[in-house]
Amino acid sequence: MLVLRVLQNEPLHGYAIARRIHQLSSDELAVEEGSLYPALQKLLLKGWVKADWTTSDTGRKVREYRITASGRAQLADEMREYRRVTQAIEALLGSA
Amino acid sequence: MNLGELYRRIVYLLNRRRIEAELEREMQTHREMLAEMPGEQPRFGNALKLREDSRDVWGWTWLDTGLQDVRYAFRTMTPGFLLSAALILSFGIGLNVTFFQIVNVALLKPLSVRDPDQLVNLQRRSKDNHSNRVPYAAAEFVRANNHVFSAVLTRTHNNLAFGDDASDLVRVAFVSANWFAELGYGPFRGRVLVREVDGQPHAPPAVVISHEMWTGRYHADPAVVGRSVRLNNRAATIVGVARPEFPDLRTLDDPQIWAPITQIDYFLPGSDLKTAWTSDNIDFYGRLRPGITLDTARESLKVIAAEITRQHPEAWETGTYFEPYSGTRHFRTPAEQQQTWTIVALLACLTMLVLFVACSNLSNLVLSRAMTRIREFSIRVALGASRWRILRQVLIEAFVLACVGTAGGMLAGASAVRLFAATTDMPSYVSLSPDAPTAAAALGLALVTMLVVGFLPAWRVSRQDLSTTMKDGGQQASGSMERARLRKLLITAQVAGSCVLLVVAGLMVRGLQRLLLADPGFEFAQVAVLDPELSRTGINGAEARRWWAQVRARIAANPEAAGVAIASHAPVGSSVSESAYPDAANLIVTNMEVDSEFLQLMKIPIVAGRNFVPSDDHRTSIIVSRRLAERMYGSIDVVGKGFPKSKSSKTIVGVAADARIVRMQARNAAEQYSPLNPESYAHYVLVARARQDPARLIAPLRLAARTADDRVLGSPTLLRDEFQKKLRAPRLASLIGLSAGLLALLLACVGIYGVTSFNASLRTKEMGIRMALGSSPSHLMRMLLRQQAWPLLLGALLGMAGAIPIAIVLQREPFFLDSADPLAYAGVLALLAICGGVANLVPAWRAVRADAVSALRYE
Repeated sequence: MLVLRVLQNEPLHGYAIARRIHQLSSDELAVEEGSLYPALQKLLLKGWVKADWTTSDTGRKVREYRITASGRAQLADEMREYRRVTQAIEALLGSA
Repeated sequence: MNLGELYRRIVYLLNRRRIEAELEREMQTHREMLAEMPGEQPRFGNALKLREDSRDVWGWTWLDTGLQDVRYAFRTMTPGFLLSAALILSFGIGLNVTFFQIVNVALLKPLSVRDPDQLVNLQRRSKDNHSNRVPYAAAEFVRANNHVFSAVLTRTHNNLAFGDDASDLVRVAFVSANWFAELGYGPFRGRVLVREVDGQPHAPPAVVISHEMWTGRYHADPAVVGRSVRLNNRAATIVGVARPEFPDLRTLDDPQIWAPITQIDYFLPGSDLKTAWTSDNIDFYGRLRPGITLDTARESLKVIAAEITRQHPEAWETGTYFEPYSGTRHFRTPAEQQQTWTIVALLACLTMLVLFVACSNLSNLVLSRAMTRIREFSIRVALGASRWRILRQVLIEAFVLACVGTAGGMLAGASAVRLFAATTDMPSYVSLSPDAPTAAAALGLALVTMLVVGFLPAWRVSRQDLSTTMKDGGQQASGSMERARLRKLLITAQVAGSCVLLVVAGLMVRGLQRLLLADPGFEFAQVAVLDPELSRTGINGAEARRWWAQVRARIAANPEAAGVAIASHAPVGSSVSESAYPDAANLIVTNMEVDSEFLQLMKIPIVAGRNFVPSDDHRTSIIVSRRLAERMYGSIDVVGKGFPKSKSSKTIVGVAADARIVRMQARNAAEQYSPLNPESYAHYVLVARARQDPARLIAPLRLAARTADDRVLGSPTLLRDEFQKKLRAPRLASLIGLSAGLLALLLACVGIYGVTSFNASLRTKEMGIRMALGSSPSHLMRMLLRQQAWPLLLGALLGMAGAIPIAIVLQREPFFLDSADPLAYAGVLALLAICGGVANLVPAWRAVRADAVSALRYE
């Protein structure tokens, strides 16, 4: 979900995804390569992202991942589900 | 998993190498970027592990490990093992594939004609009579008056002299002009027969030749169309060549030439085929209109049949009707259908039995391999292989074997079928090349094989406690008694299977032997037969009698001939008319019309009463065979009695000794002889006995036939040749049965040998100790032998029991084998005992002879 979320605005390559998650979460969350690449492969398999080779700002050839329409739908679904669950937990914690 | 995902998975599989290289490069970049970033520790996990984890996501790991197992299986199998396994399986599967293919072509596949389900064959039936042919006139009457057929097809066949050589006969089918169109076949060259042209009354004589004849006699000459040809000395034009796959509706008939049936009296002058109501002379087929069922057709045709009875009461008795048989069942009657299926089921049992024996043998082999590999498996388990992975290894090895066996079996099957087609004169339109159902059958068999061959060892391995076996170097585990029991069970199965096969083979061989040695009740070695087929050439009635008088006198005057007689059918080979009487149940009685010379000429003695004299009337006098007399009246003292017993119309003048004139193998056959019917001379055959060599009678017979009337095309045959022809099928069957049985026995013996020597090797330690304690070698030997004695015995018992139902089937039509032949059973038991004993004795002897004490030293 996190990967999809950071890809929502712009296509990014593997390293940038890891950086972006790290930055956006105010250094709270770090995505290890060990889980990032299997996760990306899974997204590719599910058809939620597409990968293309481009040249990065630093002139390197990198593989950029771009979210697809079904990926966006999936993200929306997951966000909704996530909000529902967190709200429920919030409500539970607040009432207690 | 949705479709898109499956698609992406497959794309991944196809481009795996490229995609993985990309992933590697990507990670490389990632690592470099990480390294460049200040303040970050360049941390990156094991790249290989990462790639493997990423790869797992795509779900193809099982394929990789499976391929590994396959490669490993090939590497660990020794060429000897692989070869013997491939041979065993190829033989087992090949035999079954061959059998299936033949059955498929002969029984399962529909006729390869247009809409075979609409096509019916019509046979003439009444309460007491049944003929599979009908008079042409009746078929024409149906064509003109029915509402159920969209087309009516007629067909008959003759052998006609080709060109100028009277002895060069070709098979000619006379067919209705719509024949090709209704069966859905066009020409290969030129044109086929068509109704609009060849169906017309005064159409010029036209024939179509078969593709086989075109390539053979005409060397595939493209200019053959339009050429003139002489058939029975009549000119006709070849208008076309039929397609090579053009079939015939009569099973396994193979015409070389098709001519319009309306022109039959042009080719056979004087033929009364088109007008005679009294003779059933053509095959009659109809194409049902859409929506008409067999029952509707039968009922609707009853009205027409009744009208025929009204107009021609002399030919059609009341109650005669047409019985339709569907083309989907190859026009077989239910009785024929049942008989065919009985044979098929029986043969299928036997061929499956061979496969079964082969499989259990191989299962034993695989099992021993698996057991000797327990140590290897233990190491793999110790290194972290899962139990499932080990099991899969065993199963995959069986799978590899099954694949090799299937490929070998298909190859063996294809060549066996070709051999079969070559030895049995299959018509060229019958395609025996492997097709989809055959491949499916082979695959199914492979699956069965895999289950049998793979499952037992896998099951055994899975039950082994692999981690403990390592301690004992795998010795103890393989020594467990339970496993030995399984192997004994396999041996029992093999012995039982080969026992059944051997019994069947034994019965066949004994049947053949009986046929060869037994006295058929008449002498045929010196006899030649001439079938002049007078009725087909249009010589009938008084003209026929004159012809016979001339020919007979001419042959009798020949110094080579010891005697000459006239009969309605040739002995030994030909088909005859048969009767069954309620007074003599289960007896099939061959009807022969003979002159007063016949019995004497065939050396069939008269045991009571007298032979025919020329004054005997065919309507009142009869001679019965001894068996018929005994069954019907209980004695042979029957001269002067009425026949048949309950509904007498004739008087018995004599009793002849039993002579199995046509059904030479049958045990339920009897004969009855009537004097010649003066009106039937056109249907009779000439039987001549030679003084020395019957072959020297052939030329005089042919000459006499031609001289008396040059329309007659005689092709004399020798009864000894007919007899050999008759033996061909049982000979072939015995040969096949015997080789299958012996092969199965060989397999079983190899199995026994293997198990005994394996057992002996496991007990080296024990035997060493026993030997050291003073046990004599003969005692040890007995001990080893006893172990294998009971599987052998039990297998033989089971096999004998299993053979009984098969033997009972073999006793019936059309095999007529004597299933209670003690010699066959005793022979099989003796053979089993000897071979089993040797296979048991040799390894035991070798084990005892080996220096057991020195073996002990290694422990």
